[in-house]
Amino acid sequence: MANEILFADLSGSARLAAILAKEIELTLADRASLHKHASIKFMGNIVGSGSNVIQTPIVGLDGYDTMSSPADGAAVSNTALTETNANITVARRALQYSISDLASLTDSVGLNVQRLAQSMVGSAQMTFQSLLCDVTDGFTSTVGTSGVDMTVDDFFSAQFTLTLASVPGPYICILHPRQLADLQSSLRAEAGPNQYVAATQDMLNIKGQGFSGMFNGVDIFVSSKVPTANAGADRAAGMFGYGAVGYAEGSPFAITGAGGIVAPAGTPIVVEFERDASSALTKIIGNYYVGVAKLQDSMGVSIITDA
Amino acid sequence: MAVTFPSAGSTAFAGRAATLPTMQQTRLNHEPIPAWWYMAHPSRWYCVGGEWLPQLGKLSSRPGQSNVKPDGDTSFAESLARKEGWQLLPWDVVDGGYVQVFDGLRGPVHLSRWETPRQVGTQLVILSDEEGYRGFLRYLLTEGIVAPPDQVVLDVLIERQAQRVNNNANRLHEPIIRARHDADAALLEEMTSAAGKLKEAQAAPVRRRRG
Repeated sequence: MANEILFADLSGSARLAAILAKEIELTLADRASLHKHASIKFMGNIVGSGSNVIQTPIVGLDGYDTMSSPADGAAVSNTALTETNANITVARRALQYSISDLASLTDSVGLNVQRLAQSMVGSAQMTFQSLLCDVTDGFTSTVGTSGVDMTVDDFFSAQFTLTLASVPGPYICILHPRQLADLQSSLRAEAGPNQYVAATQDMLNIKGQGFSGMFNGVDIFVSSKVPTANAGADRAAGMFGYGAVGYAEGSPFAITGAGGIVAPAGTPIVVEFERDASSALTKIIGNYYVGVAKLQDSMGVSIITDA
Repeated sequence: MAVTFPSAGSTAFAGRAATLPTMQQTRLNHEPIPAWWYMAHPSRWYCVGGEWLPQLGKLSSRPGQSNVKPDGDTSFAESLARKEGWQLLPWDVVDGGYVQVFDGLRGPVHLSRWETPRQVGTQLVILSDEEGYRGFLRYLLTEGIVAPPDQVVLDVLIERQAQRVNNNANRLHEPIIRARHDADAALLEEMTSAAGKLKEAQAAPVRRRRG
């Protein structure tokens, strides 16, 4: 026989080496953020405030001072009010993509100007998470042993440290995936009342991405943004009470002279488009104004264990 | 429009060193890490290898983080850190500095000089020279750059370790718990011994030369 039509003969003319799938796959990455989680106190928006720094007065009221016992008829002296403050400085974070018209008009998988603009929300949320994790590694109280895997004892040490400091609950713990794996490994030896409650679907719905479970009443979140410590030998995570860390934002929604703006609902991010007609390029620029800082150092503890 | 032909009198060409195309340049596939500085705090210590060493923290120059200003100015963040008791350690506290910077795919990556990035297959692994880093911490103590730990702080850390040991003391029949208990007990002994030596050294009378 002869003249069979084989794939190899058609390849390059009537058949293609590869075709694009109908949709894109996301590159593996940690996309869990604690942005807007109740444990991280929102200190306000700086729009129209006259400063990019928000200062929070921290005042010793409602039980900080107890009453003295003066004798009957004796005058009491004034008690000095204990007060300090915490500051949060808001700064700009930005990301820009630039896509050519040719790249955009040949799109068949949904990778276009709109998709790039949409992606800015995730980028901003992970920027927030990165800032958060780089703050919670810096509490002046620390637990854990350098070079030694995290165990349930480290978890208890952290919790006891907060309890001893009279930090009101609930507590939240942000661990690196390595630390969570070590903790779970350690928990295999635990029995009785110390049970790890794994994240069920209902819990995930309520607590959001990154929630990995609860142990001894403490919500545990996992994040690859937890930084290293001791020259990369360890990871420095944190456990803290609600309000130990705060954040502030700025939302410049009224931008004069902007060509095209997208303000994704429920986010403080502003995405702008900038057209470079002579190069046939469209720039997509996301701006996010945010600041994260400790409010009260004694309300948290850093957990430093083997990386 | 540039001309595409040489001028009649010119016969010599000058070359320049070629650089690899951007896509072929070797750069770290790591998210950018802005410049940072080590900080020591009087209550952050850890015991390793029978000695107490400072558990250093970091001050980052990342805008928006812990009160770093939009232009990366850390002066406000520094003053707040100092108010909290942190001691900032400048880069030149040790010969050659302690921070090195690498070109990253998305921006500069600042690492300590005891961290070495290595590409293994498609993954980036950062190796740590733990002993080298501990040498740096010892240097900070012996040179008096960082003050030795207060005994009160060490007592708290030792007590916390003792609590760990005691918590597992009634479960020694379980092999995993026993291993953990033994390691904790050994560390407790190291911590106590190192604290004792430090106390002796601090209590020793300073010898004065007779005049």
